[in-house]
Amino acid sequence: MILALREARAVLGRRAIRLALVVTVLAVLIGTTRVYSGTLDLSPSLFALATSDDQSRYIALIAAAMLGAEAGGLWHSTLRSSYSWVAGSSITQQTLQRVSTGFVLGVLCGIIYWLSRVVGSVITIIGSGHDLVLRDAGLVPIDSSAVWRLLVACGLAAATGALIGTATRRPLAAVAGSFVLFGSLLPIVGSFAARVPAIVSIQSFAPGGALTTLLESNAGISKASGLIALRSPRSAFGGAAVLLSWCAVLWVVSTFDTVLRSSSTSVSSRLRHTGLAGVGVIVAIALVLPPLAREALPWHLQPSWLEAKSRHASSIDVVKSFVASVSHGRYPVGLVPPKGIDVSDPFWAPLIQGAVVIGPQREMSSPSSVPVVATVRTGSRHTTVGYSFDLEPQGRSWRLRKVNGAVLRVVNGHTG
Amino acid sequence: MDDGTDSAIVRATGIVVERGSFRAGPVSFSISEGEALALVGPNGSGKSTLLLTTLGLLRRVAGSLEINGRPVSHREPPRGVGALLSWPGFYDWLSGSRNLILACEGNRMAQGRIGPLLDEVGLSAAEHRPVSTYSTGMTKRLELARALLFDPAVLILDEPTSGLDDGAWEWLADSLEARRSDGCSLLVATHDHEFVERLGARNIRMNSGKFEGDLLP
Repeated sequence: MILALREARAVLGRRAIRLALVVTVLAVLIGTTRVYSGTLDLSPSLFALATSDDQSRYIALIAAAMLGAEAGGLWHSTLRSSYSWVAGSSITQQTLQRVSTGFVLGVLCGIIYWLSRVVGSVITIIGSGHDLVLRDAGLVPIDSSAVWRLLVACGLAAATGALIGTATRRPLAAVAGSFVLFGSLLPIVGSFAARVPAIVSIQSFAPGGALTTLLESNAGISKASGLIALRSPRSAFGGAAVLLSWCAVLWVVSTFDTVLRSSSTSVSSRLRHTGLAGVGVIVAIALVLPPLAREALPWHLQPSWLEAKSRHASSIDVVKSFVASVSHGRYPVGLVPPKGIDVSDPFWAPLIQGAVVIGPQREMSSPSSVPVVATVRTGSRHTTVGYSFDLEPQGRSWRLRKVNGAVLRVVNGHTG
Repeated sequence: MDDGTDSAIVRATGIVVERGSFRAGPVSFSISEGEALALVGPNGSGKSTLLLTTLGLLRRVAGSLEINGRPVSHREPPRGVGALLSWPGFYDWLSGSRNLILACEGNRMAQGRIGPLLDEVGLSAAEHRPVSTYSTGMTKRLELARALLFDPAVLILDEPTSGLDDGAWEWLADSLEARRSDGCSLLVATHDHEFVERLGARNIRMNSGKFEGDLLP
């Protein structure tokens, strides 16, 4: 491990890598400040703010994978591998060292990510005029295991990236390959996938999709709690199997080769072709078994959810319609049973009188539970009320089942 | 057979080498302790391919190879060997000494020899500079320091004099002679006949995949 740390330190000394990390930090900072700017009415604690679930953690995973790929490819492209061989290190030993180095780099990337999140959160809170006094987030459950769980996931992403680097032996190709194999985690790809279901199917068979499955399953990288525990324990095995298959293929391609490649008809070349064929088989399976593939995806990437969102018929949209109806004093026809609620009940008053924040999706543990926060100002007093809307599927839309509400906080005086 | 192969440090028997469409061999040769063998010939004659195959860096088509009494293949790395290849293989953003430290750490070797070796190759003053700022001659000195790091019984050198000025050429020849007098064997691929003469090395002349010359001591 010490060796891996020192090698990681050496790799981090490269200017291009430092630049890439700076860009990653900036992306996370910008993402963090943008993401939270609309939700600060909750005044959550700094820890809750920095660790709450959102899409920006995928930036860390992709960056880790690309960093590992660069390190793995760099080892061979600088031909340090040949001198290590001459000094007595076999290909297997060298590959193992690269994987260890990749894991360490990934964990470092995760640490940098969390630090960026904390800094971004501090900037956001101060920039919004709130103080940094820790307060309970109320509706935002704190997932304390999210921190180290993401570190492990980043380590695995970078170790897989390092294997991609040692298999391709070219940093640029490895980085590009890692981006393709992990890039499906980007939200923009998820939006695109809603239009092309085949991409959704393939996604869960890519290392990035498999790692997400492993990360977000209740029996996954750790026993999850809080917001990130989105998946059934069963899916963890599927994710682990897919990720291990990728690593096995990449390991074989990396190690069954000479240090220098000498011929297009060599065993290494045949193995590379075998590896590519393996990738083809995985893609084919993904296309043949779309239901299984889709089941393994996070709920917010499921085609049904993406499709419902595009039709404005997701559970969030249903809650928005409900709130709009209630705030205008109308009965939410079709969303609840007839005479199921009394819209004049003071219980709904904050939704009518206050500033309302619905969702957002990143703060939902499942599509069937939508948080809503309403802040009512009476003179210098701010009262924040939290609602939890439970819904159940009804055809291609959702129907309200139960609504719970509670006063979260009362603040006297000007809060900015 | 009194041909010196019994005490051979390097023993190659019936080796056939291949790189892309190029193929050469079979060839057999051996090198005794403290002896120098030069592979000479024009560019593209297969010197480097034979040398890299001897190190196990390339797969050999046929034949057997032992260095220090241990078999060497593309799966089995050699032991007790130092190499100076035609590429530096350094992280050029790191300093010279940092690269040597990494080489030691990567192979679980003590770092005690780094300082004296940098002194020996004349790089003490530049040891903390990034390798990217080194001249060709300085890089070659650092490569030699790395090759000597693990006190090898055999030094394998690919075109060691390319890019060197007269002073560096002399320095390299002196250094290798000194090593040889300490019992280190040399296998050198070069087209620098003057350098071969200076080392007093046996010759294997290579041309278009054919071998001729002093294959045995």
